Amino acid sequence: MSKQELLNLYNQAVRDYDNRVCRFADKLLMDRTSAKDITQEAFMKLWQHKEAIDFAKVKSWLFTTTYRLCMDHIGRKNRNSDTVYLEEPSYELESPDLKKIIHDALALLNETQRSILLLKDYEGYSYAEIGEMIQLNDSQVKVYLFRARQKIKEHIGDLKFVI
Amino acid sequence: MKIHKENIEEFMFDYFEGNLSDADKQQVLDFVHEYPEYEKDFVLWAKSYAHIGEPAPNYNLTNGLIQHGNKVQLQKYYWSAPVLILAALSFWWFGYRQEPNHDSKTAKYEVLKSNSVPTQVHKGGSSIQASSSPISQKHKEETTIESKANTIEGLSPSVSETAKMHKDQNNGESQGHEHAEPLVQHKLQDTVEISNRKETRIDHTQSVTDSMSSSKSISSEKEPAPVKKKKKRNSIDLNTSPKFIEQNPNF
Repeated sequence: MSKQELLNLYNQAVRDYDNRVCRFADKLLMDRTSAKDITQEAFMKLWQHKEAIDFAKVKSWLFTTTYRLCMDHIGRKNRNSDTVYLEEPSYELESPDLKKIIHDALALLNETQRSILLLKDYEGYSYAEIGEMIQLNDSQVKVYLFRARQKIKEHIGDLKFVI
Repeated sequence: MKIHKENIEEFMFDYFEGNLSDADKQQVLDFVHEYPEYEKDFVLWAKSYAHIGEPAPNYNLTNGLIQHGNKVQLQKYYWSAPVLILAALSFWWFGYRQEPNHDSKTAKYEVLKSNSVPTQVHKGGSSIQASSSPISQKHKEETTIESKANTIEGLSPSVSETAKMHKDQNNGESQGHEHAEPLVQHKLQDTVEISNRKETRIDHTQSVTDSMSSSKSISSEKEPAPVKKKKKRNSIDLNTSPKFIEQNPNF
């Protein structure tokens, strides 16, 4: 494959997935600045390894790389401070936005649950694909996802005005 | 599989995940209708999927991540183009113009090319005939001293000999107009050229060493320097006059 073709494929991947990758990192880390840094790092890795990457599976490669980078980031953060500070869910009683409530509820999930939920709901990956990305089998993915949704459902249920 | 209160949550989850067959879906709906207390849970499960299909916000990263290949690298150096042009112009102006460093090969080539037109070259008062064009004369001026510096020393003794030879051959008739063979003419041209260079070089070194004094001497040759009138020193008469003693009796 020529350099120009690789360049075009890379740029197409940027246009298609940069915001989606960044959203995944943003919602997983609950930190937009770090999410942007990680997205840039993921695309930098893509550019560096463009000749070895199968661009037919570039989306999967990007999300897998982003997930690993996020996990590394969380690991470093946890090593630096024993306590993990996550954003407290905000309860906007007057104008409840269900998407906002769900976004806040993501903070209640652990990283694995959150990753699986984001990959499933935003990116539409199957259990098998998610399992491949985060090194879990299908049933484990399903269990994590079930628990994640249960927590979100309970969080929504606590806000009685939503119903 | 039969749905009951212990596993209804899992069935609801599978219902919304799309993991159930139509028959199983119907079973779930029947169960919820049968037990209205699970309707609330059923709705909550449905709401937990509300974020699906939400478009990704724009994080404004695209322009920073797009690669432009070599264009990006070139764009970094666009600012240096005027600097390079200015540098080239200044080099040309201060370097090339003041000390012309014309290629000696091209000068020779043009001399050979224009050897059909004879011109007269003066060297040290004696006229030497050589065939060259005005272009070659022009290149004589343009060729640098350095490019011929090595050949000057090697060929300079032959200059006077060549001049003499030509003078003898022509015997002063018509100031020695002659159409020599191109090679001979070229050699003659070179020797004359070199002799001129040598002269200019000598003049230059003389002018450098005698910078101030030479300028004065040149001016003295043209105009006789005004003779300085030597001021006579006032001689002191040590002999005392008789009046002095009279005026200074205590002396």
